[in-house]
Amino acid sequence: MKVSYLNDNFFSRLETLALNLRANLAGYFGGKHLVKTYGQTVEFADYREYQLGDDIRRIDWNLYGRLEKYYLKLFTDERQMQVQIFLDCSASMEKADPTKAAYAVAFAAALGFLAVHNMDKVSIKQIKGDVAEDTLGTIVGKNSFFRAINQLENINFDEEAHLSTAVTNCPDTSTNNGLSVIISDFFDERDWKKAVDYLVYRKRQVLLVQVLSPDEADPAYSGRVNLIDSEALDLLDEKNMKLRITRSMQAAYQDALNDFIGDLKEFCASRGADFISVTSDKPIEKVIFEQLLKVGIMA
Amino acid sequence: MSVLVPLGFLGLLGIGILVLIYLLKPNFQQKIISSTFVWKLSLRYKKKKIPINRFRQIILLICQILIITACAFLLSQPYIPAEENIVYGVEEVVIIDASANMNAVHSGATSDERTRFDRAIEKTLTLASDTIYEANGAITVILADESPRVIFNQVREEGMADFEEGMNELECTFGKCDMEAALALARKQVELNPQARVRIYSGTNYMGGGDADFRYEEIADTSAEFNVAVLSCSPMLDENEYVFEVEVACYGAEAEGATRERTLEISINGADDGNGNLTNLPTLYKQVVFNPQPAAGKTYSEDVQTFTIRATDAEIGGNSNNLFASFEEVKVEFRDLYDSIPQDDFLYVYGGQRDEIKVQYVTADANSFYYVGFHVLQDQMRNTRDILFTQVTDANAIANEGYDFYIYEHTVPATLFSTGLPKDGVVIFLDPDKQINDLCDIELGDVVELEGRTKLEPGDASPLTQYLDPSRIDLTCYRQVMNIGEFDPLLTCDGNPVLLSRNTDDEKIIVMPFNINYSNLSVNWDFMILLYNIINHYMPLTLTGYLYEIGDSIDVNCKGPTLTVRDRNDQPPIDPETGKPGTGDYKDFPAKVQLTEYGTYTFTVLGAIFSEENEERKVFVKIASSGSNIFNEAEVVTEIENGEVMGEAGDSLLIYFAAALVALLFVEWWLQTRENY
Repeated sequence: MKVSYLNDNFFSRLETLALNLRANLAGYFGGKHLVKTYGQTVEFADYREYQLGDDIRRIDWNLYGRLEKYYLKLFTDERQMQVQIFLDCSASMEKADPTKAAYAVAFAAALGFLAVHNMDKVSIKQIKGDVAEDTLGTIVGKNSFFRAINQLENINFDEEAHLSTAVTNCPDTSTNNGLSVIISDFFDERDWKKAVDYLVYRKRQVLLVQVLSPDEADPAYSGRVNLIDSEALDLLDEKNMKLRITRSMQAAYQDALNDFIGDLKEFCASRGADFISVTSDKPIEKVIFEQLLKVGIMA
Repeated sequence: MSVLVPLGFLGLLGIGILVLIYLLKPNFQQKIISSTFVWKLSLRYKKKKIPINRFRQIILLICQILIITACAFLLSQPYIPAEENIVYGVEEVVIIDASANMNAVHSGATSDERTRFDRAIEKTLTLASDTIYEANGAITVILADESPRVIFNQVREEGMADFEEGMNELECTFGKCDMEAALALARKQVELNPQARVRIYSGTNYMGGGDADFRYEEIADTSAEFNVAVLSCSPMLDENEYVFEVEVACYGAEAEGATRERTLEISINGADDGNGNLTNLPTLYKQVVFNPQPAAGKTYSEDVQTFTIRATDAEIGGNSNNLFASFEEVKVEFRDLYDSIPQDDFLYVYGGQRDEIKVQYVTADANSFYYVGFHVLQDQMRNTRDILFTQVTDANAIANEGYDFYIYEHTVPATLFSTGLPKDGVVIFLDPDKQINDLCDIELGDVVELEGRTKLEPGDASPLTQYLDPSRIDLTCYRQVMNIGEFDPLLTCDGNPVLLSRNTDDEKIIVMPFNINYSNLSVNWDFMILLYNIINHYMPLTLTGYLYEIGDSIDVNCKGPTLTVRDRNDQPPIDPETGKPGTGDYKDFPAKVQLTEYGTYTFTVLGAIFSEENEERKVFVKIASSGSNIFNEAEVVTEIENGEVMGEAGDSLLIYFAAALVALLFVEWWLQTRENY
């Protein structure tokens, strides 16, 4: 039985939130995100002197009456952004702990809902192997979003996922027009950092969300254990390993995990990307309200 | 190193069982996890931070293997032979008795002078020759004196020359024999070589020993040996007349036709008539008739007699004028006997002269407690000391020299301030006043009157206060001591010293700053104990006995810095620690002196306290009484069992080994079920 966080209550709690994307993004016409360029909204932004070629209808005649100089009145612009969500659909996200995959899907859905709620376009890309599949297409509007959600719950998490290859080969990574989110456990021996570098190169705002199961954050098992990797082909696969897990071994695991997460944070900070690490036993609303607000994605 | 039970190493199979247990452990439990990515990372952390973990994982296995190995070694009973490798095969273990009775020769003036010990040596050499050359065996010899030891261990053909030479150099002692220890040594030899047989060459008829599997070879010759001995002579004061209780014995039969009547000569030399005149009294002759008939169940006669000798007894040649207060020596002797052991035909008794201790008691107000106290001591010590107590109340009669103890009560003679304290004795100030501040290094203050009785408390430990119980002594008044100088506080009252002593090479002073009338000291035992301690500490007896046996170890004391000891051959005694002749000079007292030779030992105190004259004391050391009994019988309890000594111990170890293995299996099973850490 599949675990699902997606229901009406869940989405209703997100109604009051909005994505807070950087203002230097370009985006598309018709959205709700304030950007630093001037546009045609009713929200005053600034004045500037009239120049040849300017539309004389935009001259502020009241100001001319007082100063006898021509000034144009400028207004802010609002754009529509494209939010891309790359969801790691490897077996490591579900096989050992189904709640981990459900949690990742819920997190993706929450971000998608926040996007469509702000009239942004959303595309949820499922990374399977070297490919980022976009089976749901670009989602605009809540009706389209809720139709897509039904399919999202039926995603199969199996095989492997190569983040860097999939992201860099993704055909629809437009430039400077929105937020790219990668949801994964990042337990990938390949160089996933290339994916982040690529997205940063495409001038997209980047958010990395690491989802861990409670067992991964703090292994409760000990003794002589044959650890079977969920992505292993069989018992003789090299990914499997036999260990005698003692207290010292668990301490070493914690050290390794903390250093690994620290490495992720440090790398993201160096690239101007945001990073959060969550465990699937934490309430998802708490993560959204606390961690996303903390990194500035939510407003 | 060899092992007695090689099969014991079968226990090492337990290691194989242990390893099998480890191999049969349940497989690793399988656990599906998202990714082993972090675990692989953690391996690097683990290696870096906890390098000894691998050892910790196998430490349990290592401990178990060590325990099993130790058990297997216990089972196999490893040993290191004392001198050379133990040879299994025919072996004769000979115990040669080297006690006093082995010095017995055939009686009669025409004896060939060969002792029992010589005959035992000859027998041993013959046995060695037969065993080594004819039976291709080995011989082991244990010399059984007071400290039995293996002198030859498994001698074979190649060692015969040294063996014969060594055996001919052996000498018998006049001491005792510890046959139990010798048998214990023999038993060890039999345990190492179950084919070994034990023989005892002894004049004593050893019996018992349970199922002792040894052969007793009798060396005694009842037809040709007899021995007459003076066993002891005890001087006693009987109404101011010295009498001597003499114990003599005769063992065995004399040659046919010989008389059983013997003459005992008693010579009293250096007899003091009470006026300091020393004379040698005429020799006394006591006729002793021994019973020639053997006792029931025995083949030889044994007659021990005790009688009293008085110098005034006309029957033995004495007369009523032979009264004396002390004597230098008394010789008791059977002459012209030609018996088997001539060394026990006589003995000397010394110690008839008592130490003289002179006490001057100077007081302005005579106190009878001291007078009575010293007279009680005199009575108690009358056999060893003469205490001459002089009470002086006339200031003109006070002497400043010539006494061993100078006691000043309530007063200090004026002459002391001009001549100083007496130098030839111990000075004791009882209830002194502040005047003595000028005479010795002490500062006395005023008299302190206590509100009630106050019990004394102990001060520094000293021989003067040993066996004294301060809590029994109450005090109501004392003189305060403002400065004790170099005095040692021995007893205190409310923190104030009430008994002090100063003990240097030049001065020996005791100060008791309270009047005995203000204390209950004089009416309880502690008063006599204190007086006894004072005399015994400053004037100790060099010797407490007068007659000893060979092998005795005695404690000696000394009034001077050095005591020199020499035996009858003017040789120093054996040092007990090294077993070799020592220097014969003793400086730490009480000293222990080992007596190993019969005859007279001379103890000389060099530079006695206060007098600086040498004092000489003598004691006589006789051969052991058991040695005089040349047909002695004794029982031994040490059991010797051939062959099967190790069997039972091995079986019991097997049980322990099995129990240990089961315990280890249980521990291992428990750890398996726990499967953690």
